[in-house]
Amino acid sequence: MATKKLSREAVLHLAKLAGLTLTDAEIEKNSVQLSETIDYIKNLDELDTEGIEPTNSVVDLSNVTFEDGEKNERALTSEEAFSNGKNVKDNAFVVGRIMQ
Amino acid sequence: MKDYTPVIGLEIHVELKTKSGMFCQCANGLHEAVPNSQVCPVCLGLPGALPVPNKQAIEWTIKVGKALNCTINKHTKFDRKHYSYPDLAKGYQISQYDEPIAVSGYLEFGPNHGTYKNEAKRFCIHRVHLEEDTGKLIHKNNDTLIDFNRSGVPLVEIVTEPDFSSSSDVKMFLEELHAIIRYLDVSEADLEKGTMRMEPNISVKVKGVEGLPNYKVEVKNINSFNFVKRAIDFEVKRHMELLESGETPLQETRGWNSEKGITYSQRTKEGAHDYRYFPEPDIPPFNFTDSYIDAITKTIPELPKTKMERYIKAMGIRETDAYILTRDKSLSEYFETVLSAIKKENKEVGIEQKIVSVITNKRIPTTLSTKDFVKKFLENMRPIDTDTGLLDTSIKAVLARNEKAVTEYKNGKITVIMFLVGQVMKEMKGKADASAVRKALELQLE
Amino acid sequence: MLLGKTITEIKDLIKTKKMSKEEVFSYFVKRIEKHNPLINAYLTVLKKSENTNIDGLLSGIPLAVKDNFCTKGVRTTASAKVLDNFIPPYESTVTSRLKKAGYSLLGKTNMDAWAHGSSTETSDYGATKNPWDISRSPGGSSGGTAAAVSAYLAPAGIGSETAGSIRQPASWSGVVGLKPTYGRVPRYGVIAMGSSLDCPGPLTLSVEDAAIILQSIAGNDKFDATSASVPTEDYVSKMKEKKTYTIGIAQEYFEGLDEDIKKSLGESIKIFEKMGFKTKKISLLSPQYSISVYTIIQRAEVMSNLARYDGIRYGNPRTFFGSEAKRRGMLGTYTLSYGYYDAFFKKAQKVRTLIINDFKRAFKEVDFIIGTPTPITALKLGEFEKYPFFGELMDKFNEPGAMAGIPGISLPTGLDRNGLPMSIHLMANYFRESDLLNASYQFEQETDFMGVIKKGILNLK
Ligand SMILES: [Mg+2]
Ligand SMILES: [Zn+2]
Repeated sequence: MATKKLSREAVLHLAKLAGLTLTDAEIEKNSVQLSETIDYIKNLDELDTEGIEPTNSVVDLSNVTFEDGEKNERALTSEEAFSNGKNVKDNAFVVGRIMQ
Repeated sequence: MKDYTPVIGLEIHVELKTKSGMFCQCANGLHEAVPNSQVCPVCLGLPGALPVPNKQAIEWTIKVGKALNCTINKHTKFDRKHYSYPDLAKGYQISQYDEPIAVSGYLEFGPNHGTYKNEAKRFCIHRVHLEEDTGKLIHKNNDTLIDFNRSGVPLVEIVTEPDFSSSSDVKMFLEELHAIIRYLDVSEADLEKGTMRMEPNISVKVKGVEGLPNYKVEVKNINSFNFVKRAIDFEVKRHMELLESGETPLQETRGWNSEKGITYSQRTKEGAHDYRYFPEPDIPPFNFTDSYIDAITKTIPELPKTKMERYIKAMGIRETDAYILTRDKSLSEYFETVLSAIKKENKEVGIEQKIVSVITNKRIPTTLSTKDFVKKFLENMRPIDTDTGLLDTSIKAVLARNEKAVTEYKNGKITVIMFLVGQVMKEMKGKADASAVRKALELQLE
Repeated sequence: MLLGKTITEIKDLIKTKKMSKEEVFSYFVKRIEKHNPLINAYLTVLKKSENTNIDGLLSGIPLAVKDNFCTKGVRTTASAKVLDNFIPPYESTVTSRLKKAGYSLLGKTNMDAWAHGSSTETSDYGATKNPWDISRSPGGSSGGTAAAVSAYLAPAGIGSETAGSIRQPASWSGVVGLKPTYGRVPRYGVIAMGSSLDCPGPLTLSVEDAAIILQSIAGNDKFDATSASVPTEDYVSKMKEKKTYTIGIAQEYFEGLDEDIKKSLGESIKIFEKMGFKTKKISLLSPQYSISVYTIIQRAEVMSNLARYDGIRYGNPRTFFGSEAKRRGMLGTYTLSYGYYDAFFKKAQKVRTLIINDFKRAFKEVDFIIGTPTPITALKLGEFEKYPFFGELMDKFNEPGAMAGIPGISLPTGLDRNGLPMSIHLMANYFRESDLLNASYQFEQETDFMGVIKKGILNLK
């Protein structure tokens, strides 16, 4: 019944998508634990969900909006906007040159 | 060479000109603002910040959808689209996946639409959805600078079916779409400023083969309709050559170099895209009633094509003129304002075409107020009392000075008469009726 | 004089001028200085009282706030090194409402990093110790707040729950923990974990204190589109009306319980019956399924919510993520990735509908569903490493209610054979917080469980 553990390639692919870097030990651990967890969550297949609508949100709300042009109470000053940036130059956040 | 046919689809992004952002109250449209001066926790993607949708943006997207003959989804929602790029503050873009605001529309073109020589055509629109724009990257030396002022600006994405087989059809479609968006008054749709962005996806197949080719090339960074046409032509030729030599063109994203007139391969952001869409848990869904949709639909003005046809059919205006006049809503409104004022004074049949000619030939500039335009137009139309004595002496003087022209006229080159009329008018400082001058001149030259 | 006093009692001391607001504040600062090095409940401690001139529900009351609430100008890390030096330039709705009520922020409390866990051990700043036994975990993820209240390093505090993160640490630390209806308390400014699940709520030494705090933080927020428009109630006065209710007993919530907890639960039911409450046997969907639904949905939302941490606008690069965040992000990526969405995420969403329908059906028959927030009392530190989804298993009785978004409360019911706190758990229908508090208040009056707890606090001289 147990799914065989996820391949190293599969784990690395997921890590790449998720933007995560894994150590060798983490790759190994994840390939085992991911498989175990996936095996567990398959118990949902025991439940018949034919014709059941999926729940995106439990709140009974719809059409929640704000009015265009209403006062901006949350504007950040430049000082605030950049206060946590490590690399700031010319009123901008800076990263190493991206190829175009 | 085999008989190939291009298969082209379009993706068009239009920034809405709302006052606020898509999900926050930050000012929109301040393109010249200091970088990162129009931000808040929401559009800067700070931890814990949450989006609340802008009502106007939702309604304008419905408006665009209806103007493009789409069906509006009564139930719609936002989804998160995940990919990683420095200009994407949250690591996902709030967009719409399987329940876009509008679906299954089309734009129709009559035969010889405007300046295009063609049969009647219809191009289908796959979907129209609403999303948020990203920040802007500025590349400088070894740095890439990020400005988040544009982050979270409402962006409407229009996706067509791969219905196009010629670059001139694409150009016609885009020009019409641009005019419609401008008529709807929901976006500046400025190609230079990037508030309207167009991405054709192009492939080529052997004519008659069923289905779509197994690859497509997307071209980005094109900021004019002409360049779209040229980029498509360049690509189609490139694909045909590759196919002819037995190769399948690479599925990729390419950029357009307008100076060299070529496209070039852009390094793709990721290998295969896997956006991991799921319903945005921070935003409850939307339910639209018929009356709500109807109320928005009512705000759609007469669109350029309908207006153009009305000008042709009801006013007898020449097709090309009607096309030119309806490209810009304010120009057509200018025309209709001056028309109704002139009609009060002048009941002449065919006055519409006369006015249009004056406008399109720029004989009276439309930079004038409509009132001044009307005044000037009526002045030019009114027959002027001509002093017959002065006319006689003036004609004599002009004929004496222009013997060569007189000879030419007598030798059968009768168009010279226009030159002579002009000379006489000048001699009389314009205080004469041109047709009276012409009659008198013709008499003299008999 | 102050040791073990509730918010209500401190308010009285201030009102009768027996103590000034500043004295109250510095009392806690001194206690924190003395005990926090051992307990590690706080990551950041404030030195000066604030909002002292405001006359509100919480005038002069110092509170501990979990470190995932953005507090303008005060370091906020969510116990993650990725946000090591993050100083928010804005304030969460909850803390700005607390400010308006006159509270004074004592400090920011330790938690499982990003709220990923049920033991506070995944914190990048070291585990918090359970004041009842420092070799044990206080629970989590709001373990820092729970331990702070339990060691009286704050009279009360704010936590947040995705599924159990208030109720489980409240239980392990011996305090009251209220998880409101999803949307009752705004999430704006709370560092998101599972966006469709996250709920801020109070951890306190009395039911009345929980009502006072809820009163201060509940209500619609224009900056949170998922916050409810249902009007709030006067929780404090409604709590004191004499009412009787019907309590539902579902066998599914009695499975796998520790012996002592099972016994205590049985006794608690008898107390409710003695109080005039009716009980009724009902049947509910097995919590086993909620574990799966919760794992799938929460991890997908985690993957997404962690995507913004790129180290550009704030914080450190993604290489700073701890192994638990990575583990969760990986599964979230898997279940949402191309070809798996329908089998996992969509299936989980459908089962979520079944869970909601199940509760709706049950609440037609009963006012509350009784159980316990956790099957066991506080575990030794280090135990969690043995399970790949320890938190999900520890919280299996909290997950169904969390998936449905209904409110629940954890109430202390004495100590087990090892002298560790035990609790019962009541769940109610949507927006029935005032009934939940009413029943809890009556239960509290009927028993001396809080007295037992306060005696525990006294041990930590
Ligand atoms: Mg798009
Ligand atoms: Zn903003």
